Amino acid sequence: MKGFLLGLTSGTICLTCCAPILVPYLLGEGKNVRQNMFLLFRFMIGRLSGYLLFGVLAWTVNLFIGKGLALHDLLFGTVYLILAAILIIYGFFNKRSRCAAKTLAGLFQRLSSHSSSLLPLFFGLLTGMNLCPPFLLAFTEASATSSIGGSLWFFWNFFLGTSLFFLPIPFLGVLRRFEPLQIVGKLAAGILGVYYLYIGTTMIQGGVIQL
Amino acid sequence: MNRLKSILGHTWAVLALPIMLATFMGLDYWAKSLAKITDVKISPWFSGGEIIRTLIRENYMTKLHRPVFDGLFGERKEGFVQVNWVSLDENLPPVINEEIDIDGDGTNDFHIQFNTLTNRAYLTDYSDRIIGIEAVYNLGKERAVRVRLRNSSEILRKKKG
Amino acid sequence: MSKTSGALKQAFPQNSLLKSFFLVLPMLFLTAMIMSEGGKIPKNPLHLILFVIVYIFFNGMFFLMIYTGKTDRYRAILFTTLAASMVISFISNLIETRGSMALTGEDMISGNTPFCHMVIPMILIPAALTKTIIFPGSILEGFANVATMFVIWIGASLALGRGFCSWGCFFGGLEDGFSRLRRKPILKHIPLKWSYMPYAVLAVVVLTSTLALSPTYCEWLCPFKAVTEFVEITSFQVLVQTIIFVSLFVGLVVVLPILTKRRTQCGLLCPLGALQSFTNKLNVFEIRIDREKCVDCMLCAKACPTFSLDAKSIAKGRTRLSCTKCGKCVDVCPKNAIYFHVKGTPVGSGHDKSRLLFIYPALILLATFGSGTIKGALHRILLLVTTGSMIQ
Repeated sequence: MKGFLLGLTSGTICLTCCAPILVPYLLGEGKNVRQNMFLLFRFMIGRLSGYLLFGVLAWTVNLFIGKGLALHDLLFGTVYLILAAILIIYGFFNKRSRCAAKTLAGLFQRLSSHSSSLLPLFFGLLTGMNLCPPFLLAFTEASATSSIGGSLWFFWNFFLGTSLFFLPIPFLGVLRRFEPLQIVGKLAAGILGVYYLYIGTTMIQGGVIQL
Repeated sequence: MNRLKSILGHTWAVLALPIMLATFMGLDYWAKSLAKITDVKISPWFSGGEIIRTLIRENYMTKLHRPVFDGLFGERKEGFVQVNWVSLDENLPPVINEEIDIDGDGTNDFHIQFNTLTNRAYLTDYSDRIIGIEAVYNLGKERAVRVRLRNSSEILRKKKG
Repeated sequence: MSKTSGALKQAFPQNSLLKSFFLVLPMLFLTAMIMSEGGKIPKNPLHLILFVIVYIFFNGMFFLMIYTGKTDRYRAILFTTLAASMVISFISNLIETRGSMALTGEDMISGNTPFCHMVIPMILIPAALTKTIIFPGSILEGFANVATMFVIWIGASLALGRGFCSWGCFFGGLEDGFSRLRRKPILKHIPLKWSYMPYAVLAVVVLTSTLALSPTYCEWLCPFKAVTEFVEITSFQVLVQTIIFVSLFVGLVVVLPILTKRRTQCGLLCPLGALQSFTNKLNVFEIRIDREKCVDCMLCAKACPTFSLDAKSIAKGRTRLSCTKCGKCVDVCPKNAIYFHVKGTPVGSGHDKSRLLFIYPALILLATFGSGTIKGALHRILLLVTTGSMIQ
């Protein structure tokens, strides 16, 4: 109950932290309301995965109290850098073009060709792991639980509470007829990627210094 | 219909000049009216918030601003409180020692020692609300300090939890 | 009328000397009233001379606009002069009052920061939700307070739409000036996708400013801090912000305009410009293209400083939403197919009247913003020449 209530009270904050990623992405995709609901669903699965992963981390972090802060900065910094890379590539480069040249092979090419399914998952996972300020409070609450199950249960309820605020977002689909909005959405995502690149770099720098 | 559109268009186009003139000629009036109607203020994150208490000392005044935690919706977890010292005569004393009770509950929350010659401030906190000094300001005959705070409602919630 | 003189009239739609004089007459009166602030003629001989110089300058350019039928080249002279003068006046004033261009914490908490119109997009939503202005200025006090600048912006937007960007914004004139240094561009093609960047920047800064309750464009991106004021470098973050804005100024305000002959900051970054574009929807003035006269030479699209013309829009006989009504396309068109138009009125006729109805309030805006600034700058230059320093 505590986790759910914390999610309800902090849902607007979580939404305002996730919206800068989610809104430009949905606008950039230019889908209708129904398709946006599927995209949102995948985003939320990614978010839930991030939350549950964090639930595990929250329980195990007390084992690393001495190096907790440095690890925290290194972990979050890395997450931000990955998020930044994905946003910049998505925003400024045409991710849909199939690369004819066979020089670029491997994971990135496979990811690119499946990116329409994986992108919202990645966005959800990465925003789910780090951006909500109440998240840190939830983290400290969950890390005080006696078992990993308790921590996971706490974050599951927290996720439910915050998710209610995301329900109206698919209705951005009514704007998909305006083609320039798709371009603007993508460029906005790219700009945010540059910002997270800076945040991630400074966090990693801070983490390295503390180590 | 076309004729009506044409008349309206021309009218609006002709009005552009009086609008421009009225904007500048009545600038003071429009500005005051806009400020009054909207009733907006400068964000407390910049202005320091409203003054809630003024304490008259020997040759200076202490102005305590309200704690600022203003968020977009509700309050933030952290904020600050600003304290100003204003000279009532020539200059502020070289060292100011002040006990500050933020919320007027009779319990001092922190002590500030401000050296007005070097513009350095030293903080002694009595409460877990206090995080530290955010900044000190030299405003000529006035000095100010911002002290970072934790939102007491957050602290209460943690204690209850 | 012979065929030759008819063709000449077509090519150079100018008015006769007498007609031009009568058309300028009201402006002579209006600018005299505005520049003298209601009839207060300066008594100081130096100020009087400066007043006369600036008065003649503005009205001279306006007369040439009417007489030659060309808008952009005379507008650009005034506009660039305004921008350069603003830089000279503003920086000199800062150094005189503060000792440096750097903005300190003391300035911010005292509400001494002049309100810049570029902040407007960022403060609207927080103002609506929290009834506070997220800017370290003053609501009604001092020079360039929030309420005054807001009123000017509202008035200019109602009267001119995005014409504010080519007739009022004292930053745009810098790029306008740099973009005219070369005769031909070196970089000719910029993908049209990038012309949507201002809208993306607008969305991001509005969102982030609302979240942070702080004007993020000013903190992170505004290139014009390089010629106005900037936060004192006291931390690594501020150092990064300083590197960003200096780079953006050099890149988008100086170098790219020279290379492309376009206003690249206005067309590729400015979030206020993006917001102003929407005011074009409400504004009565627009630029239209006569499809019967147009030969699709694309000279207008190549000349447009803000990427407001492309093949698609030309085919529709219109500019894109980002048009700043500078008049460059109108002047450049070899077939006189492009013209100022008043919405609702019949297309293809009344071009001169529509243009006149537009440039009158536009020049009032330019004169009001510009006259005091240019006088101030001339005064500073005189100080420099006579005393060796612009600072008193």
